[in-house]
Amino acid sequence: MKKIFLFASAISSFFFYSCDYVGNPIPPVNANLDDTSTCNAPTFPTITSHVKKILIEDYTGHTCTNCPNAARKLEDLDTTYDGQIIALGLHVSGYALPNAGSTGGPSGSYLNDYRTSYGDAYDTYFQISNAGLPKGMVNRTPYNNTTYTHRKNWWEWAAAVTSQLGQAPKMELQIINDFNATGQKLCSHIKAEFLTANTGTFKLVLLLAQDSIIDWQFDGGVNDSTYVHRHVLRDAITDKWGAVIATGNISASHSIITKFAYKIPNDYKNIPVDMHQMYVIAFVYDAANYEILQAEHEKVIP
Amino acid sequence: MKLLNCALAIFLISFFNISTTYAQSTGEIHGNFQADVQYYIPDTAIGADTIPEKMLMNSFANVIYTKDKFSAGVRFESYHNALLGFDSRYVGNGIPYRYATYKADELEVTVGNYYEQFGNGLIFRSYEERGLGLDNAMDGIRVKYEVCKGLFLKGIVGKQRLYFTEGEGILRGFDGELQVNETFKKLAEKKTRVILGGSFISKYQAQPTGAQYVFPENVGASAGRVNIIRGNFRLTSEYAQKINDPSNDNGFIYKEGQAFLLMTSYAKKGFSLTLNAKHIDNMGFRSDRNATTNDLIINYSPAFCIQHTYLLAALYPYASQSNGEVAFQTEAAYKFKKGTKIGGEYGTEIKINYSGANSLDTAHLNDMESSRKGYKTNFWGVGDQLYFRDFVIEINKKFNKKVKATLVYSNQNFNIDVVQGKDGKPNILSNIVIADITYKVTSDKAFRIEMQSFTTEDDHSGNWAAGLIEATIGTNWYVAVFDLYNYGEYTDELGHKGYADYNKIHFINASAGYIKNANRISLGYGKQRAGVFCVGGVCRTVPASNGLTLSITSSF
Repeated sequence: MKKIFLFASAISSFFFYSCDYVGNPIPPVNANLDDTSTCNAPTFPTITSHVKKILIEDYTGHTCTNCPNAARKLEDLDTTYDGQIIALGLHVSGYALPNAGSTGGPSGSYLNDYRTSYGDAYDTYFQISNAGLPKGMVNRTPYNNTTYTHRKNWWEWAAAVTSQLGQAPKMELQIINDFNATGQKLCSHIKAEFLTANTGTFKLVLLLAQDSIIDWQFDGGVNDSTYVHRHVLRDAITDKWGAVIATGNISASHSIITKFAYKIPNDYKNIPVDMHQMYVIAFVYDAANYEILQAEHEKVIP
Repeated sequence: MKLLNCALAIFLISFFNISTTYAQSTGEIHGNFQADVQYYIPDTAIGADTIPEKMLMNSFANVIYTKDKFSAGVRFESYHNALLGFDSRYVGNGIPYRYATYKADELEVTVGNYYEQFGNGLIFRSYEERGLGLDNAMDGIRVKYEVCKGLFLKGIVGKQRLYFTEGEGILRGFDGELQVNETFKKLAEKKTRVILGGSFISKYQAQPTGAQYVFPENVGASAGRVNIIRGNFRLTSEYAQKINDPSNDNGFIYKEGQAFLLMTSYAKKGFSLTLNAKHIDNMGFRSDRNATTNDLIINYSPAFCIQHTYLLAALYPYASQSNGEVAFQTEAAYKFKKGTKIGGEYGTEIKINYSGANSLDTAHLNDMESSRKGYKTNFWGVGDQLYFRDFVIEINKKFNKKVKATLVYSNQNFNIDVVQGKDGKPNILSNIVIADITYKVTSDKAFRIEMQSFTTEDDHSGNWAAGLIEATIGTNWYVAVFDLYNYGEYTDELGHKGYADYNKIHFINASAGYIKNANRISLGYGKQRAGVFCVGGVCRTVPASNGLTLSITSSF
């Protein structure tokens, strides 16, 4: 009898834990998205000289003592390759928890939460913070979810950038932002033009980043209350995995123009927004291997 | 996996030479082999395409070693390339099936591949049907345990075979069966025998990135069943439920699935009666939510229709509708005794079978942008749409020592739109008459003649007639010639008249075979019409072909 009871309890617990009930199948839509019908189409300038731009994602956290080294490397690269680096800081993992006291900082320090569901999703999918921070990705390439070759230490970034910049640009990406300060409504117009013939599915992702936020950072064992956090991811305008802009056999010079409307809130998780420091970051990637074809950024208020 | 393959191969080779001589001490090796080869000739009249390879082959061999409570085996498969009508992912050589199993007291353990079924298969059936090219063998582990007398538990974990690879989803499940009269001594002598069973299975498939919907990664299905036997009466019933399982099968809706089966029968000498009913609602269940055709099917819905053996009665075979159907089947068989007026000198058997299926009684829900349940079902209702009906009378009579005959009449109503997805065509009503006469010349020589007729006014493929002459010569040889002929006109739904698709074409087939002991070799030549072939309500599309076929089967 005892044996039967043991089996029965093992089996019934299996019952409860092996079912996922989905109440709402539709992924949540960003409440900040707005109506695009009043966004007037701009004229995109003709570009004849194409430049490859690279997205560098710096996965970081405010209590991660070595992370500022990566941030400084990113600034170096930005200076070296002026205009070709699109930088993005993503606060993820336990290092990004609002966590007073863990570094010996004073009360009231490290209470802000810079994490986003989008950053967390990328972190989980690309297995970044699992291997310890700081880590990052350069154009999310070469993607391999077994050996994680896309996950790079900051001292490996420079080589990856050189290698990426050695390739001819496959796409021209333009952003024209139109911001109405009264309603805080941002109309973001995107033009993506393929420069070479391509086959596959290509997705466009639009993110919103805030530059130069001054807040606590544990930097080389020191609690710094005036650390400048650069290019911090605050929200996504598209889905985190983007929207398909082209699929199948795509000819060179094929172009797509699309627009997004977004109402910028006054704060995210009670961390104030400075409209003059807000950037739209756009990139297009190949859905087959996540490699970013082209990236761009543009200030919300020029 | 490679390691296991190697270990099994070494193991089998080391025992191969000593199989027969030392059978008592070292175990036994058995196996079988089959090769089907076809040489294709393009034939535009029947729509048979040019096959670049000209010749195609499906082949396999099983080698199984058993010793006491241990057995292990491998199946080698070879497709160069797969025969027309089989999925082209069956390509090249491989050992997709290898296993080892042992039994120690109450415990039985299987590692590697295995086939398994819980109850009637409503939530889990892993099986192989070569004729359909269907093989959803499990690869993983299976444990069976006899807890006490009459109480059996089974547990499975693994992935399903997908041609020469495996499906993405992981299956975990268990089944328990209690033979009440065995377990409880007080009930051992009771006339009524009761068997109870319960099962549960869960599949895991990760949420893909960038997916349009939030998918349940773990989808569970459970079922409970009862089996009651008293004297000549038998009742089997099973109820199954499945939680939200959006898939390509159901158009990615999040409705729960359910299935109910009731099968009753009464049989005594010379008479039998069966009555079956089922309700299937959104029970398409696969280990990959995007899978199609017969790929990675986890469960099975028993077919409640006659599996016709005569070609023209099986021209429009019914495929079980896992998305939803209400089906029934009833059959009465009676044997008129020898010496009676109808029975004659040898007795006469009459079988009447009536089966059918309809759509579910559902109400559409306008929720595709929110909960995506899709529709609501009235469990006790029957929908208006008729899927199929088949009324069959079959008479078997032996006239004298030399002549016996089978006469079949079938009246069918087949919804080609729903069952085969051919848009806009109406239900096809048809009458089928078949006579099958065997004349025994001597004790080892016989002739058999089949005459078949299929008439309809509803289908573009018109009327069909078929005839067969088969001679069995001695115990080893047979020769047969078969002709299938298409004729007649049709009127479509707009009143337009036309001729049958294969108007006045003879699909002639000739075949000869040699059978000796465990070996069978047959050679054929002929034309095959495009159609659908089903086994147990699961179907495969067969393209038109013309050519020479060679089939070899053998076992040891």
